[in-house]
Amino acid sequence: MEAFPSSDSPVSQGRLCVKGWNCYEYVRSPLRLVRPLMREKSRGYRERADSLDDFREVSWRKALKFIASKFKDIREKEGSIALGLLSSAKCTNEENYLMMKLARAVLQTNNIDHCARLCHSSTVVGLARAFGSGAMTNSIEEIEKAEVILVTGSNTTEQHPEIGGRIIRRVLQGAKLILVDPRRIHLAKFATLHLQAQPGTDVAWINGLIHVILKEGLADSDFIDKHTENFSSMRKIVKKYTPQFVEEITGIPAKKLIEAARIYGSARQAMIFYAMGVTQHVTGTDNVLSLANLSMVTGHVGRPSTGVNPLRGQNNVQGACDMGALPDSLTGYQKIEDGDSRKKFEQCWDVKLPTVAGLTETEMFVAGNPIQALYIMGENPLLSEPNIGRVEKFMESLEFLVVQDIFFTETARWADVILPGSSFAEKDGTFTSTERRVQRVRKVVEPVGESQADWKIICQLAKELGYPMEYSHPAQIMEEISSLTPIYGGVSYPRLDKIEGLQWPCPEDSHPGTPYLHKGGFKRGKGLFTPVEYKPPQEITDEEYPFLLTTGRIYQHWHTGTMSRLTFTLQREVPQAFVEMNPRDGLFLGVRNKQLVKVISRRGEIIAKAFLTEKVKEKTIFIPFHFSEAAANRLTLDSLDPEAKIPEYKVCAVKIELWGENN
Amino acid sequence: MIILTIERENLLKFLDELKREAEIVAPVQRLGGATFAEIKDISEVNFLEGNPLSSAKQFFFPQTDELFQFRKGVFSFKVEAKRKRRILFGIRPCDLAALEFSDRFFSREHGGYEDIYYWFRRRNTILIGINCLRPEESCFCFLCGSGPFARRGYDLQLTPLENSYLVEVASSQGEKLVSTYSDFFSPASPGDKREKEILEEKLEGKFSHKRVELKKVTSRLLEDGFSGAVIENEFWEEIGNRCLDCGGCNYICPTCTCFSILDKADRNIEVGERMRIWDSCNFSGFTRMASGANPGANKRDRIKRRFFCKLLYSQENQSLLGCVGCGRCWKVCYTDIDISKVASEIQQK
Repeated sequence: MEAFPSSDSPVSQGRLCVKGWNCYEYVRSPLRLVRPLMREKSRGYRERADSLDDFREVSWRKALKFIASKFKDIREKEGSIALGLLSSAKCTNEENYLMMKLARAVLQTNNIDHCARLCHSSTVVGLARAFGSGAMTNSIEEIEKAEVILVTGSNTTEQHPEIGGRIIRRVLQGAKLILVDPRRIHLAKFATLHLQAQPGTDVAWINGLIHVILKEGLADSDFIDKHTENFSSMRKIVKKYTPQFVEEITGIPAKKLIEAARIYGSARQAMIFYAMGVTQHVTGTDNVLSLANLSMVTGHVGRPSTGVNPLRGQNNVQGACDMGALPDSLTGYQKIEDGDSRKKFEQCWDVKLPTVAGLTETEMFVAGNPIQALYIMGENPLLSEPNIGRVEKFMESLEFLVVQDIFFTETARWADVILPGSSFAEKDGTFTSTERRVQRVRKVVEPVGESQADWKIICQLAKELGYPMEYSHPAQIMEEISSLTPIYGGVSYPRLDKIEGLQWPCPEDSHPGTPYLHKGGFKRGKGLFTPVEYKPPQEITDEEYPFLLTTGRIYQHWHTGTMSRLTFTLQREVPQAFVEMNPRDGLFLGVRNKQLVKVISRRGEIIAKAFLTEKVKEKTIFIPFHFSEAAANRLTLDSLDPEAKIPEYKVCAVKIELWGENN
Repeated sequence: MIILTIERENLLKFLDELKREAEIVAPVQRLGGATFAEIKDISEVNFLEGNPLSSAKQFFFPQTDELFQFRKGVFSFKVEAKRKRRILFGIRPCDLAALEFSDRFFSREHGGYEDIYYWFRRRNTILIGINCLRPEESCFCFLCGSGPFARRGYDLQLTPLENSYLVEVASSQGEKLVSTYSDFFSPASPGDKREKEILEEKLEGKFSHKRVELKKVTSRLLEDGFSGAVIENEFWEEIGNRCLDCGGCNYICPTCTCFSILDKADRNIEVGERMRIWDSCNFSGFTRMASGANPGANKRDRIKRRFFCKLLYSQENQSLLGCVGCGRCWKVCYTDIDISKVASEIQQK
């Protein structure tokens, strides 16, 4: 098996990142799960399994029958509200659709969600409110014509190298790059301006930019008049965000903020790119709304090479959202609480649907909630949820857990039944990329051992539960999806046979797809300005916990590392967790480079190597969350954005101690 | 040298005949792009498109190569003796030159070691090359002396003429092929040979690349001796800053031969395999020692090492330039790092 880039793809154009080049390795790893497994009779209470020895192999028939009977029992005793499902941003659109259908039509619960809750739920809420659509407004290739690029809260070269590379190519041609990021990331080397904002102060500097833009007459008043509403109340709020006031909150020098406002405000075509640094805050939705305000004030939206562009992380996190693996939405963001939408699905599925929005992922892991049984497909919350100690406590109290995955993950260790799913190379389907591009994935090898394509597993389980789902190929599932989903209305397998795929909205067969949104007017009618006040992060540093911890990802590893950490080349590059710390803090604490330190928060502690680097400012540390043996999420805070329910991964308070005998 | 011609129609018939006795690998257009692949039907062969992004390297030194398997203490080696002969059809002069390079790298005669896995495949393969009439924007083989027309390294070499293909025969294997299927071939006339010469002369102007004198580049690098005396650190720093660590330039390069060895076993270490995979000198882990000491700890030095390897060390070790001018590294690079441009800048130092 080999991995090569596609030279004809308009997106990759023959390029791949290091993870792409090396993706063959995990697919054929001998550590893949190859047979259904059941936990040996437990000791009366749930606990984490030490190894696979705590499980025994069973037949598919037995595993599925057992799961179906447990789900039925729990539903009878506690009601459908006691069941929860997590779908997967790594699985195909078709699989996410079926998981959603299994939840709603078969198990009669809206408790379905997936990891988008943890990464871009605030985008979906914020951009949908401001513009009417919660996805990347523009397309990747439009970077080629951008005059100004504003990147914030995105380590683009490491997390979206395809886009990061394009940004660098464009900057080398003369475009201006404004980077707003607390860390001196790789892109800083190419930035016209790097504003090193204090983590958690996004609303303040964005309001500051708008303040300067308005003051200096750089606003696009035509655009504001014609295409937006509620401008004046937003204007009132930003009045007090003078550059000096913003400097006090964010640490961005007033002069630099003014310069950034002038560059962004006077460009004809400016694109905003952002990711988790914006979304993963208790003010995540506010942050997104503020970026929407900024783009509307200058009219940088609704045209090519402009827009507000959230960079989605996983291969199909956009698609998993599109497919309605969300507690409040059916496919294509049709609301479950909207009677007409529900009726359409009820007719197609021939079943009544539960009417009230379900629990979000972050609410599912809270002790005392009604969840008794969880079915988790291709997700690893025991490493990705904030405050893991809390999730472990919840697991101890859970009655029944099914995990469907390709490896024995941290989460699978808690399972009663483990079902072996399949990797991207072993099945047909579609993925929807960050730029709303629906693309085919094709089976190149058979699933290993007795493992099966995830869509087939869901179909069999549905049948065991008394609701036949019969599809001979994912193409059939897509036919059903497009018949129910206006934005996917023209998406079909024959059309997807072209390498470039189709960008939604694509409402009908003759529609060519949509490279950029809100052309000539917003999806919701008028763009909505929202006045947003700066609110400080939930947990600020104090004498006892004097360091601000911000978490994130690194280039060589992927999320909870279940695949990348089994990949030789990636693991060799970055074998273990680390703590980025400013050298002056190192000096103050007496920490040498590469010395082990203990990082302690109010919720937990981990031990990892200190990397002394100017990448981070004093009193701020950075830890990547990929490493189970030193899980950054033991430290993080489980406070949520009130609307999007996204956790504040990016800011919490910690203290640091030396660790080991030789200290 | 035997020089013949073959008409297009007969070339297809010839390949069809060969398909009975050998596996034929040729450039084909697949969804996703042109690539080299085993063909099932002659109609799949793609004569017109440019060079596929993947080179011939993967057929001798694949991205992942299983060296042996073990099962509860019993080892089995994978070198299959009964393998069907392979004919690699339609490879370009740059890739032929790259094969000459890797032949030397993987053989004892040039100070290396005899790599059985490489040579098993290599000896079992007949090379039918094709001269290039349509250089791409990224091509600069003419600077490296590897193309657009091949001088050596092939069994049969084709040149597309107006009405037929000129066929040059350079090996006993090639001779055997043309004599076995002599019906398809006719002797080449002086006019045919002249037509080839004219084609080659005309190609000179078609390369858009800057003129670089690689001899001068080599001497600049020799003078510098990796010390920074001639080529200042900032030069490498600037290129290093652009590099996004994907490893693509190494993976895609037809002359990059570095690999890693790893064992993949199940959790009880009862069943597994030893494999080798392509490696990249752009990675920090490539030269990191157990102590943590690392001559390639920073990107600037790694990038510098790569260009020294391609443009100087290769000549010291294999007596051949390590770059064949195929331009693939430039195509896969996220930030357009172009080795011909780097070389021309070194020349100016």
